[in-house]
Amino acid sequence: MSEIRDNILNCLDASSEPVSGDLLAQQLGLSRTGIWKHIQLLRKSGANIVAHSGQGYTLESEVFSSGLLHKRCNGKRIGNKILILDETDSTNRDAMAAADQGGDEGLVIFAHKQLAGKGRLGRRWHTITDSLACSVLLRPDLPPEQVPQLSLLTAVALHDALAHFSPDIRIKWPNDILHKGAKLAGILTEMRAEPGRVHAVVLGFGINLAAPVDGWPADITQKVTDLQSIAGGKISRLDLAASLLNALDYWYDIYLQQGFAPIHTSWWRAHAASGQQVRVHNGQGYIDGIATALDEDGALLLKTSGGTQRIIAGDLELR
Amino acid sequence: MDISQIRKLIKLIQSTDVTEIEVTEGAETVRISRGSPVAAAPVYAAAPAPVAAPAAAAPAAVAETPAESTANQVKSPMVGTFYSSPSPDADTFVAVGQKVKKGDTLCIIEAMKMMNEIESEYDGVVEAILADNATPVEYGQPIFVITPLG
Repeated sequence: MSEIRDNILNCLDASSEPVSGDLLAQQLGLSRTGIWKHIQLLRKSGANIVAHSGQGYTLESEVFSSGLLHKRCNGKRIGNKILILDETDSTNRDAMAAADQGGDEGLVIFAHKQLAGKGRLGRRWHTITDSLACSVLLRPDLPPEQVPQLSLLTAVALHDALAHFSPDIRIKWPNDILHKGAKLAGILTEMRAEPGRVHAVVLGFGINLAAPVDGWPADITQKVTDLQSIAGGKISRLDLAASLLNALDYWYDIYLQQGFAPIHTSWWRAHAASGQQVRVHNGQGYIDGIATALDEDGALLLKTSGGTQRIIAGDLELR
Repeated sequence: MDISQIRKLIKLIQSTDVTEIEVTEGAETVRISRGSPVAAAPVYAAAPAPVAAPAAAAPAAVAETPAESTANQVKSPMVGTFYSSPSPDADTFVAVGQKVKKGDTLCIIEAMKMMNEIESEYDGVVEAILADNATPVEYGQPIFVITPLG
């Protein structure tokens, strides 16, 4: 979207009263006809802009634009640059590519549609029409072995932003977001590093905002849910995206200043299986045990019949 | 124990300070040593060939050989699970003997669903893969030996 159109949306969004074409023309250094042309283009791209005779224009429903989202972001780092793509293979891939080209920490990429959304171990993440797919680029000055903690930090931030829709939202190790056992959001984080040095970290997440009208994709084998069903009403994509980014920024800032301990505490409190019997498939076999604690690096400690086992990767099943 | 496993052990011993390693699998035992002129006391007749090669190098080269192979090692930057392919039913990223270019993905190391794609730092040939698929690796553990090309 052009800067002018972003600015028009910003002006309309900021005002509760109609904004006249004259005022917009004056503020943006265009003619009234120029403004009108841009308004037509905005309407064409889906913005519900209404002209009130003799008064001006109002924005009747929200537009998910980077300008409007940027205005709602109040963080120190995350959201300093926001891209919203109509369609892409994977926002995680785009964010990593941006990192390769020197992209700055705090870059955020949203996509309305992902053609090859990534899940764990080559699994597919379906970005249905009504979902939020987002990747955040970070460049932390941390030892690589500490970076997996950011995967759990992302879960804490998402849980924070989503918890006010329902008290039943939980984290499942390491970072799935569940509502009453059904998956509401997924997180896939990636890093590029060499021993001793981190090049880039990408925090990717997808949130189901509403159930697809034609049903969930057939290859989804687990229970799924969506935020609209949970909240019982329409969700503002703009407000939700902003609260997610602000929560991420808040927790990232805490992490950089105080380390993992505060995240550890919040994570354990929000975890669906703290102190409970679980089963983990680690790629080779099943391990049954009681989730007794979260280790300092984010590993799950399981009390099994053969002693305590540290889980660093795997699929966790609640029993 | 097949020849590729013995090769792996040789690479392993070359990449560490360990001078001797003995592995028993059932009734079979293989001992590999680089401390003496006779490098191995293998149970297999086939084993001495690959083992003898580094040990038989001229005395002047002895000191260089281990240093060189350490330099060509790719080490894990973190504790995690090693994956040799992008998904369980996909082909491996690389195979022994394969040429790789700088930036090619060699493997993925996962910890807490943080996926770390390890890329080759230079053009080279994969000499050895030192970790097994879906098994844990430690921080700094050698996971590949890649000989630079050119």
